[in-house]
Parts: sequence; structure tokens; C-alpha cells
Amino acid sequence: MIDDHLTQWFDRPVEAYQPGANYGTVIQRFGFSYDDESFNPAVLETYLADPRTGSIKALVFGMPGDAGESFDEIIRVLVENAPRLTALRGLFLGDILQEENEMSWIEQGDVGQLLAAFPNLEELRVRGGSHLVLNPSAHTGLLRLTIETGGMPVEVLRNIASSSFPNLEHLELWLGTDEYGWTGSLEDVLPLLEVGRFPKLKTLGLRNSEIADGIAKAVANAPVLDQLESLDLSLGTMTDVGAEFLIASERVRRLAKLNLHRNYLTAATIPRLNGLGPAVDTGGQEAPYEYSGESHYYVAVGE
Amino acid sequence: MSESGRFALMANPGSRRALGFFTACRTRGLAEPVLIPWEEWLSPGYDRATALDGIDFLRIETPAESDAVERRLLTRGAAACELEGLYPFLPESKCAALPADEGELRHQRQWYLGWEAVLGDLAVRCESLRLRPMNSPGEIAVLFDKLATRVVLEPRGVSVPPTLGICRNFDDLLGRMETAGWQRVFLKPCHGSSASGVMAIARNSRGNWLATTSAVAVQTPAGCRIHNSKRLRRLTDLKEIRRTVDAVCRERALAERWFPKATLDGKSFDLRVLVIAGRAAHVAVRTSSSPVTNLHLHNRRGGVGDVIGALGSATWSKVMENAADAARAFPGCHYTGVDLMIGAGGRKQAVAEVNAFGDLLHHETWHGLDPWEAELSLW
Repeated sequence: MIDDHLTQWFDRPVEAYQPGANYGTVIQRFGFSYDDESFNPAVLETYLADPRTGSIKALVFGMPGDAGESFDEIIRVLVENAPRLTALRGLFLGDILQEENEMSWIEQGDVGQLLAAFPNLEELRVRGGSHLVLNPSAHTGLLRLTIETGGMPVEVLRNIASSSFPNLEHLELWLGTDEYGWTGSLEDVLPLLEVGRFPKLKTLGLRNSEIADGIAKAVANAPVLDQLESLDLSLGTMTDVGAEFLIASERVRRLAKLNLHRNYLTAATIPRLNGLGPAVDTGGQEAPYEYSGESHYYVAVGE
Repeated sequence: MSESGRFALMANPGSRRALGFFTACRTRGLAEPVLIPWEEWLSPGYDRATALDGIDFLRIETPAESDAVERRLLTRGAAACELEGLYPFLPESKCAALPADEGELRHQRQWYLGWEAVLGDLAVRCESLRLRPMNSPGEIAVLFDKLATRVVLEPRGVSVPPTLGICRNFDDLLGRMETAGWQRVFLKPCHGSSASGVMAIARNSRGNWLATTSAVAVQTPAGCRIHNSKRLRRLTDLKEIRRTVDAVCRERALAERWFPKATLDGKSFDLRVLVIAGRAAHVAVRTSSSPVTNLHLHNRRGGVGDVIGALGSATWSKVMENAADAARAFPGCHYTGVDLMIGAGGRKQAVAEVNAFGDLLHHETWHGLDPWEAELSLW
């Protein structure tokens, strides 16, 4: 698949915003791009100053500007207009491709304000971990939370673990590498694996992580697996060492799906994973980069 | 067109390119080409007046990767370079003593001016001897100048990234970026080949800079020199980026707007399309985890089938047509290697480069023919 901006969401097509815009059947994507340099937060304000704003189902945002502007302004405009965005169920901040801006350069903002302002929000997607703030929250509507980073600030991880999302079904966190902002350790991941933390959780993704072997070991026998349908440990630095814990786990065998795409698994281990029972994605494996007599392992998205 | 007739091949003997062409001639039952080594052709005592007697077709191969040939081309370009007065000049007396090249970016303008003169001379000879060159020497000279190549492509409607022109140094580049309002550019030595000296440069409003490049700036008593590493490096220190840009600009460098390339499974890629007689033939996919995709930098060859599958056959046909369009801007060239970038999301396309010697795709076949066989079959 060619990596692309989001094209479909909430059963609706997502299209780049053009003046004279759409409110009901198409989800609008706002942002600065190589092809369209006209975006600024005032464009969003104009779009939202319309009686049809009440029918907007979801909004997608690419680059706030060309020079690394943060999402602060967009968040401010959204919060101000929240009382009128009554049908809003989805928000995606950072639909930005690797070649448009490095993930670690995406300047986020306080996305917790959005959870507070939109109690009916069902899905929040965030890409970029720089200056990302998410205070402990309580949100009964939230079904899906995805935060992609090249390096996740540990405060965000801890605050998610201490939030109350009683209906959350999908939690996907890209933890990244300490070179680009990952300040946590395995101990900070463990609370997410406690039973009862997110009682409705069905899909757990701990992706793009440089501690993937440690996560594999910790998650392999975590009782939370019994409630999960799908476990996603892709895009990280997992080696055969981590995979052995998954292979040895009875709980892993009962999953419907296991995603281990783009790690560092070898040809000797892959068939054993494929035979475990779940539908396993073992594609795209990397080989370590040998340099100065040492093996180097990288997450998929660092910069 | 016809294959019959005798070829002369100007090349560095023993190169894979020379070998590939000789083998293809043999496979197709052609007379063995007359090999004219560049080093001899460029020697003062060589009998150039009769060397091409009895030859029907001339195939010009790259003179690169030979220190002896580099010295002769620099000698040839010395007077013009001194006269131009814009780029580092190595007096004729010092050219012969130039130490062997160990991956340094050096004297590119002077080298180019020498190469251009040699090609100009060959153009005249082809004309007067009624000898048909496979690739026209005049067009090869244009293709060895990235700015001149753009000047040919743009008016024909071939999509190329917008440019900031030739930059004198880092401050000049920065000023041009600010005037244009661009945050991301590619800086390319005008006369360079492959990724040598190329820098992908990005900055943001908080004063962060990031340059991805194989160029390494090395301070020497004689000033800052650029060496090419086999690995791509990521520079974030502005002082080092400035020093590297300054040194690359001394070789005459062109800045273009960073064209956001498509990524496939998280890896950026571009396509090298060998266009022969106006037809898109062999294709190589070059993938990288970085913005610089040239193959010699430990980057991987990707699967053409994967790209076709991802783009869809309608878009793929358009991509091939665009590559052929770019190549047809050089009608005197029987074959060229077009580097084509697909835009992020797979929607737009832009030509990054057209290479006069872009047919070293010996892993690829087209209708069962290797590049040299295919070039001969359509000759």
C-alpha cells in the first residue's frame, strides 16, 4: 500500500477542504501542503461559522503550517466551537506523511482539552509527540484512542494509564525511541496491562517501540490478553528473544490477530509464529544494521 | 534503424558498462565494437584523426571512476574554469599531480567544463564523419548540468520540482528559502552523479534543522572538503549543516523544493526508468528509510510489482508515459535513465533527474533483454 492521508473514516470519504465546502457526506481534511499553501486557523473558523456545523461527523487535520506551527490554535478553535459541533465523533490531529514532516517535528498541543470539550467523541487520533499534553481524563464516550509518536513523553503514557475510559475498545500507542522523545520504560507500560484498567478493551497496540522485546515478555502472560481480540506489537525492534515469549504463551494462542509486522524476526522463528493460531502478520522484517562490529536495531519511525 | 554497422565504444576499459555492451553485441551477432579508452582518447599524442575511421555508430560511456581520466578532464577544463572565475580552479600544472580520488567531491565545475569541451569536440567529429552517436554528445553535456536539464524539461511541460536556482552558500540558500517561504529543500551539485553531495534539508520555525546526506564536511588546512560516505547521515547541528552546505555550494549547487515522495510500507521510493527510443523499458524501484533513495547508499531495490499493485495500472501507465515524455525532451539520445518521483499519497509525479548514462540496470530485464540488448534491439 502506498502510505497516504486518511481517505475513509466513519464510512465517509475524507477529502481535502475546498471553499464552498461539504458538511454532511464528506469529512474535510484541513492543512497546509505542497499542493495547497492556503491553510491557516482562520480557514477553519470560517468553515465552522456555518449553521451546518452541527452535522459535521469528524474532522481531520494535516500540517497546521509549513514551519512547524503547533496544533494549539486548531485546538483553541475547536474548543471554542465545541457547543456547535454537536454531531462530532472523530478528530484526527496530525494526518501528516513522513515526507511532509518528520513525526518528531510535529508540534502537538493539549489534546486533553478536546476530550473535555467533546464528551460525545468516539475516536481521537493524534500523530506527533513533541509538546503533546494529555492530562488524566475521564471520558465515557471514547471508543478508540490512537497516539503515534517517534518518542512518547512518559507523562502522556502515565496519564493515559490513570485515565478513566470505561468504554475504550481500541488503544494504540506508538512509543518510539529515546532519541526522539521516549522518556519511559517498561514499568510505565505495565499499568496498561492491568485487568480492569480499560474493561472494554479489545485491541491493544504498543507499536514502534525500542523496548519491544521487554513488552513481548510482559504482555505474553498478562491476564488482560484474555479480553483482547487483537494485539499489535508491530514496527518495533522485537527480536526472536521477544518472539519466544509470545510463542510460549497459551494466552497469545487464543488471540484472533497478532501483528508483528516490521520487527527483527528471523526466518527460523517466523513459521513458528505463523502456526500459533491467530492470524499473524510477520511481513516486512528487517535485519539489524551491522556497523563497527555492533548490531543496531531501529524502530520504524524515529525521526 | 539498423543494428548493422560498426560501433566504437568510448569507455573506461574493464568497467561493467563496457563489458555489458560488448556482451550484448556478441549476443546479438554484431561485430565486436572498437573500444576507445577515455584515457587514450584524451592523451595528447593519441591519433584522434584516424581512430574513428570505418566506424558507423558511436557509443559514449561515462568517463567517471578513473583517476587518470579525471586528471585529463580537469586539465582540459582549466582554462575555461579560470576564465569563468566562479568555482575552485586547479591550474593545469597541478592537474596531473592530483592525488587519487577517495570519494571526495572536488573540482566538479572544472571537470564539467573539460567534459563539455570533449563532448563538443565529439559532436563536431560525429557531424563531419557522418557517424551516428547513440546518445548525442551535445545532449549528454546538457544532461550533465542539472540546471540546463531543467531549462529543457520545463517548457515542455515535464513536471519538475520548483527551484531556487544556484546557491552561492548557506546564507544565500537561507535567503532564497525565506523569500520563497520554503522550509524544505534538496540541494544538488549541478554536475554531480548519483547521490554524491546531495542534501535533503529541512528546518522549522523553532530553529531546528535537519539535513540528510552522504556528504561529510572535513576541515583541512586547505579549507573544508566534502567526502562522500557510503552511509546516509542525519545532521542536526546547524554549524555542521552550514559548513557542509557552504562546501557543496562551492561545487555549483542547485536548490529545489523538497517534493514529498510517496512511501510504500513506510519507506520512501522513486523509480529509475530506462527509456529507449522513446519507450519506457526497464524499471528499478529504489527504496530508502530516508529521503535520499540512490541505490549505492546501501538502499534496497524494491519490487516493481509491489509499486504497480499499489499505484494501480492506470496510474502506472501514466507514470511510464511521463518518464518517456521527459526522455523525449532529448531526442538525440537513444536511451536515458529518468528518475521519477511519485508524490506523497501516489497522486502527483515529478522528474528528479535525467541521466545520460542511466542504463546500468543489469538486474532488470525488459521482454527478456538486458538494458544493452534492448538498446541494440531498438537501434
